[in-house]
Amino acid sequence: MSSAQLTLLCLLPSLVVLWLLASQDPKRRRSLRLPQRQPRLPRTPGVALLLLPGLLLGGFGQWPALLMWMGLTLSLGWLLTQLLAWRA
Amino acid sequence: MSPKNSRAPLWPRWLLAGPLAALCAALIMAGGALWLPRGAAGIDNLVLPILAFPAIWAVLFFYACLTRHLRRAYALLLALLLAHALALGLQLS
Amino acid sequence: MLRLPQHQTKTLLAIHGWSAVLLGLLLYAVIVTGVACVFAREIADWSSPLERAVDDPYPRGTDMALRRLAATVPAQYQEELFFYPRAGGRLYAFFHRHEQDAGGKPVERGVAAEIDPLSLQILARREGSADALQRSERSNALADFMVEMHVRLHVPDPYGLLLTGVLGLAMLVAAVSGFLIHRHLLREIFTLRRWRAQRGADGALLASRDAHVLAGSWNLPFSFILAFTGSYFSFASAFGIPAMAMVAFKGDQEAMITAIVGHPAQEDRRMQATADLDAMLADARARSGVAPSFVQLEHWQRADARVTFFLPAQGSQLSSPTYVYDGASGAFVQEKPVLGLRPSLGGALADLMAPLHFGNFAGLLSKALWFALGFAAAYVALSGLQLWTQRRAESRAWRRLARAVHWVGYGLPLALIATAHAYFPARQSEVLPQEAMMQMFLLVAALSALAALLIRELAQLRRLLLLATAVALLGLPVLRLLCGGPGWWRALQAQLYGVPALDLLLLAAGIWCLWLIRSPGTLRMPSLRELRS
Repeated sequence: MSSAQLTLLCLLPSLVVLWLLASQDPKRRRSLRLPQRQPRLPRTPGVALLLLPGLLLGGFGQWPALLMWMGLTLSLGWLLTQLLAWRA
Repeated sequence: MSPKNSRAPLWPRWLLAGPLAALCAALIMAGGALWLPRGAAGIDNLVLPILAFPAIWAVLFFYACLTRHLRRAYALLLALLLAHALALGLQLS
Repeated sequence: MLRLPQHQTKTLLAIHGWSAVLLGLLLYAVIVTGVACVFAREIADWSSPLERAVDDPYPRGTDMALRRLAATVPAQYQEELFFYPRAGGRLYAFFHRHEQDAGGKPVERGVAAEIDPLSLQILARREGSADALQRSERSNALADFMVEMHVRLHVPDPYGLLLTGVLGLAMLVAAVSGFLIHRHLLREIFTLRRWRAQRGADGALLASRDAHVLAGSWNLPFSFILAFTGSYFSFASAFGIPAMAMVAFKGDQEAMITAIVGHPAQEDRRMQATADLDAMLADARARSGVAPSFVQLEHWQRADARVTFFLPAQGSQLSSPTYVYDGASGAFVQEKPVLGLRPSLGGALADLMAPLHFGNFAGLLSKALWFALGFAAAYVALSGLQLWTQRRAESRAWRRLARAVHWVGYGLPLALIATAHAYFPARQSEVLPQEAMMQMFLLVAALSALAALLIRELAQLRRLLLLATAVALLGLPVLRLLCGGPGWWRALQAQLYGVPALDLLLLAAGIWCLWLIRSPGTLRMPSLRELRS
């Protein structure tokens, strides 16, 4: 499997977790005056879950995929926050 | 810096964090060639100090900025500085 | 989260802010040009394509073409040769010797040529020092201009490198201090109160603060990586290598580099024909499965000739070893790391610096990512400066800095795009592209400074500079076409896919600038009226 395929494979679960964390984030909801929700995924296990694909990539020595996964997760996290602030 | 000694002049700290930290980092880098192990390929003592220079400077800079024990910091940086200057002086003479 | 005592947080905040105020605008310039440099090769390919795409950068016959070139090169410059593909796939070959300038700095002087890999004809041939050759560069000049700006801000060595090294350290300080002072990094990682931007001066300040903190938090690991590796590159050549050479090699930098690379010092100056480079290229390709990215040949036509093939990163590695061949016999000698004859900690760490800084380890995907992360770092720098001046907007002096931030923030991208407008006509004429681009850059920088001085409201200045940028971006593909570049249909037929792709990106960026003019934006300086109310 190429580095790009590995990156995308690991990115998908990270994006789902990012979405869950962002959509239920209490401070974000409060700042946008949205009703608070009961968290479906508590923050600490959520962050651990978010980082898990990266740890696996590092553990298996897939360094290009690890860097790209990290870069994409961070860029898309920033983009997602921008979009959610726009929508609100 | 701290509320306790906020009236203390700032220049001793900036002298330490500015020129002294930079000079000390430069001398540690150059002096590293003399005391670092040469490694498997015989190049580590030349390559590692150049690689680590930004980190050496950053550590010294933040230490000098944040420490509450300015005299201790002066002593440490001057000791590092003098030790490396001495080693380099002996090597180059 | 880290909990520092209050006085330490205040100190860090002062360091974070003042380092940005003193160096932030120059740092922004280095980051913005760095973002462009990620695609330096693609920019060069787009600005100077050949008739059609080059499938093989080293086709059969490369050896013959190089020998034909060597026949025209004075013997004194045949000490060393390197060749690699550049703009449009042209094979750039440089026969040279190593000299020292008046200050003892190593200088390369010789004959450089561009070889068309499609016809194997020499397209251009120039003679001089490496610096002089770069000044008279034509096909690669646009990419070179961006790289020079990023690496040394067009300031002569060693001052330019020292300056960008210091800027790298400033970015490192900003990243570390930003991390330490931001106590609620995770708690606020999704908070952006954009809707407050239009609600008075306080709302604008809050929205700007969110925008800066948010971008800074998400970009923190990469800001750290880019700052560290960037300052390493600047300091290593400006200061690190000369200092270490002084300590260990009595100031002889060439001897130190030879020792670090790990080649034996034994010389055999007897004349002996260099073996077939095509055969060595084919062997290196068969061993590695890829075309080399760079080839170095020491001691052309000598018994001690040695050929080193540098390979691009592959598979799960961020860097690749080099292959060394005996130049006289053409036999494979060894596979070795770039630095040292065998793997070592120093060599491995040094190998990591380039892929981490350039993002060139996994083709276009990793480059696109580094482009995005660099863009985010530029946004962090600009939004931070804006936030600092916004917090102090009631003071006239800080409002002047806010004006400078707008001038550089929006004027610099405009000036950089304008350099491309100077490049295309200059390349068609006798004018040196580098000179034309620098004149255009300074002219546009001066004009935008004039606008910054004359326009009272910063929002209006922002709109004007964005409009000019949009016009420059939208006009660039047209200018390229008018100056003899291939149209989209012709480019597609010739498999020059990068040409329409970059044109489309420029057009999209132009449209985005137009959209930004309409959008009030998250970063907004409060108007004078708002401040007075």
